[in-house]
Amino acid sequence: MEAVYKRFAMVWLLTSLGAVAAIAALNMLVDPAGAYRGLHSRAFEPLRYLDLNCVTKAEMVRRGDWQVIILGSSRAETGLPATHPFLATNRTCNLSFAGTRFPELMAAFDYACQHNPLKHVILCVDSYMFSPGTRWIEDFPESRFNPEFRAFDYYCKQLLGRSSTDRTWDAIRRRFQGYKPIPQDRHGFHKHGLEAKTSQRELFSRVLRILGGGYRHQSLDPADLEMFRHMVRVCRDRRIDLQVAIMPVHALDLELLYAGGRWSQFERWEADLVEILAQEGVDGKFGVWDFTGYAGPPAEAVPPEGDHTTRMKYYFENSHCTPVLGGLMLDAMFEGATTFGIKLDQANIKAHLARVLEDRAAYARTNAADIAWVSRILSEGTAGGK
Amino acid sequence: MLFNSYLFILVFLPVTLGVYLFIIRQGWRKQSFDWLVLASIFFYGWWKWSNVPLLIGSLLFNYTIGTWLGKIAPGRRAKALLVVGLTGNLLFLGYFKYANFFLDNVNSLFGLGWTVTHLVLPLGISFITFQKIAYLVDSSQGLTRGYGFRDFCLFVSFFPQLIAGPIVHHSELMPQFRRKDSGPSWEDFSVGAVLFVIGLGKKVLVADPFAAFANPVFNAAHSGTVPGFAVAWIGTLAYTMQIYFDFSGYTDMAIGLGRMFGIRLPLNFNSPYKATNIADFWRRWHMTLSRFLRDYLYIPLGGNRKGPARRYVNLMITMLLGGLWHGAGWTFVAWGALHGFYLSVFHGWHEWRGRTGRAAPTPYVAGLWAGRVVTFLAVIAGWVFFRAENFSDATKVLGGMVGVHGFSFRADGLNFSLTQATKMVGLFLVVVWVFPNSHEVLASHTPALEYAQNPPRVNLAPTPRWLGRLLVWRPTLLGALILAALMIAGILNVSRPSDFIYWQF
Repeated sequence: MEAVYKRFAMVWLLTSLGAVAAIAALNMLVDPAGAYRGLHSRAFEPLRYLDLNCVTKAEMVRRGDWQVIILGSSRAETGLPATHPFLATNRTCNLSFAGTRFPELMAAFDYACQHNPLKHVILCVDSYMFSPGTRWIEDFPESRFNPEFRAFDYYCKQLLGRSSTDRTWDAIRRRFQGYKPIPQDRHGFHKHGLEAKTSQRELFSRVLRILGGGYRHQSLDPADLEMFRHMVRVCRDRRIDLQVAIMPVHALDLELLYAGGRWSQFERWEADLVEILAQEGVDGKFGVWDFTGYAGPPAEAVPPEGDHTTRMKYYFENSHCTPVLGGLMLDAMFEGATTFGIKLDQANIKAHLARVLEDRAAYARTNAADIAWVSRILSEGTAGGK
Repeated sequence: MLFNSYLFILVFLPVTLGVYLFIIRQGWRKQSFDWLVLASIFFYGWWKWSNVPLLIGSLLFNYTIGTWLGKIAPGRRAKALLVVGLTGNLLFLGYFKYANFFLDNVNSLFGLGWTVTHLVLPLGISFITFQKIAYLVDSSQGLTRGYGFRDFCLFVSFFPQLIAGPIVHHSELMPQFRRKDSGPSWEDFSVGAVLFVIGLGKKVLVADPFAAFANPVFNAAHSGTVPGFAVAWIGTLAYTMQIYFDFSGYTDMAIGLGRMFGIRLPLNFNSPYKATNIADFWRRWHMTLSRFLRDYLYIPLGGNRKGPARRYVNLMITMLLGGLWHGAGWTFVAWGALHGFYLSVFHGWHEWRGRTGRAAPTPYVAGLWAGRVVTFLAVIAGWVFFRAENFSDATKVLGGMVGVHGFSFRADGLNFSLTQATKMVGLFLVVVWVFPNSHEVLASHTPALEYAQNPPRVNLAPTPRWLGRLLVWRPTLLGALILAALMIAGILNVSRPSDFIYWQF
């Protein structure tokens, strides 16, 4: 009888080991995240670093040849155009993560600085990022960005994890389909699109509800502002240009803050960012750019209810702008255009904030129904979100 | 180190087992157990090295007291020594597990701000303490004479059961360490591997996905959202399944690991949701804890020997402390109290039926199913307190379940599909109610200690006989390939290892 058990055990062991070895070998060869440099196959190089997860982005930044990094949330991931002349003529890596908070951006920044000869950092911020919350998002702790990175677990996951195996199959499938990624789908950028027959007003409604719930619990964490100060100092000391962009959410997204009683906190946060640059003596060199507001592109009209065909030029929904608007942001920051956004400093911030309030009053008069819609969403209660 | 981690599966287990077998092959049986002690301490220390001195200190303390107790005659001195030993263990547990809970309550009562900082609960402390208490009590009765220090260390620290049980009794494990035969056989390895892989599958393929349904509901309740009817039910049922497969998976892995090393651990989990009454549930859920509470708390308190009133008081005390053992929080106490109440009601009802001659000699199938469903409902109501962060959260979820907040069937704001969750709950309800469990499937291969000592009569009800026969495990080629497939699926899914629920106790 022992022989029967021995045969069973050997078949089980050898089959398991064989299959595990085969999966590991395949994942190492294809290596969509780029974790096994020097061992992976060059044939898959164009299909590498296409995923938007933190693991892949950390491996991408570890390559060490980036001149520009973009730090931000999914708003910067989808909203900034990879083909913009400034980004396209520099080696640019988009290190933005969906739903991120400032501690993650700080860790990604530190890691990128250690491994790359950076010239520019484009920091795309929102006030929610400075609110206390869970320390790490999604797969961030599993990535090289995590200061407590565990190499053994990491390499095992890349060799044997289900998500890396799924990504390997995707890469193989794409290679056989002859897929060639467009710039907006490479180097950490994301090409976002709306499905046909999607009503943008419905989309606004859904996202306003989700974010309204999150904004309700929002507060400013002084520790995050200190991290921002650290980032400013590192850039100053290493002679890296730092441009801070306050992302252009739609006016109705801003209204969630206003109607939710968070406006003074939002104003204080903007003023804090400007003050930190001044305190560190870089207010002339670096910039805090405010692209939010109630006038211009952020006040773009939302298609009416039941309209499934009209597409907004500047917005997917209240939270995410299109690369068209992202292009205008980059024009303002790097090409000297003056049509959109304002570079804040201690001299102009008060007047700017007062003007935003005037714009808000005007917007409320001309868009009373939409303002009432946001109030209704807030009063009905919301769930989840940032 | 988690059982469901790459480090454990790919490095620790193969190295520990390989060296163990190598040492046995050299004919060094005693040294093979020394190796297991070292490996177990390494396993424990991997989580937090600073806790290793605590473990070793507590081993030395308890072995010294136990040996001393075994040498002196029963009397006042023995009693005093036993009190010293028990107090030492309870203070150890109390300090690490309950100090902050105690201070929080004192603070809220008297408006103070006392805190004990940097207090990290040593892993497995609740389980280890109970094993040592049982050892000391039995030592005072002369039942532990002749045990060596190595045997004692291995009894407490044997890594498969170190962190979350089964809570083994010295009489179950120590004799196995004195075996002089050649060590684990191929049957031991095969049966152990089957149990380990089934347990791994339960944890990573079933329990963890259920957590993805349960956590959002309880987290939303904690952040102030009131769950609707369907969401509250699905969240609670998902947690009911999560804790079942999590604990059952852990137990299978622990027993399987023990068996791979040729050591049989006692059963700890026996299809508890098949229980037809609440007493039956406690004979099936965390069986070794129930046994400890019965033998070292309920019976010493007087059990049912001092009249019905004392019996109910003893039951309540036992279950309240059982609840508190699970965690330093009032929700755990409430969970224990609820089960104490259930058990009191059941025993009262059972006694009344017996007294009035209403107990049917052979229970009807419909009656058994009715009992099963009622017991299940009572248990899941208890799980709400067990899972919730506080009473407010528990009230919200329970309120949602009884329709206090309306009868909504939508899951707005939650990142899962209610339909998918319902299907999964439905499927696994059938599995837990109808399918045989892992040790029943392996019954003819004596998977656990009970099978080797007094083989229990395997009663598969309510599993249909044909299904029971179909699922009997045999060491065939097909069986090995199926097991390999399950192993690979398990390994692919351990990429995000999550703690076992019972590890936090």
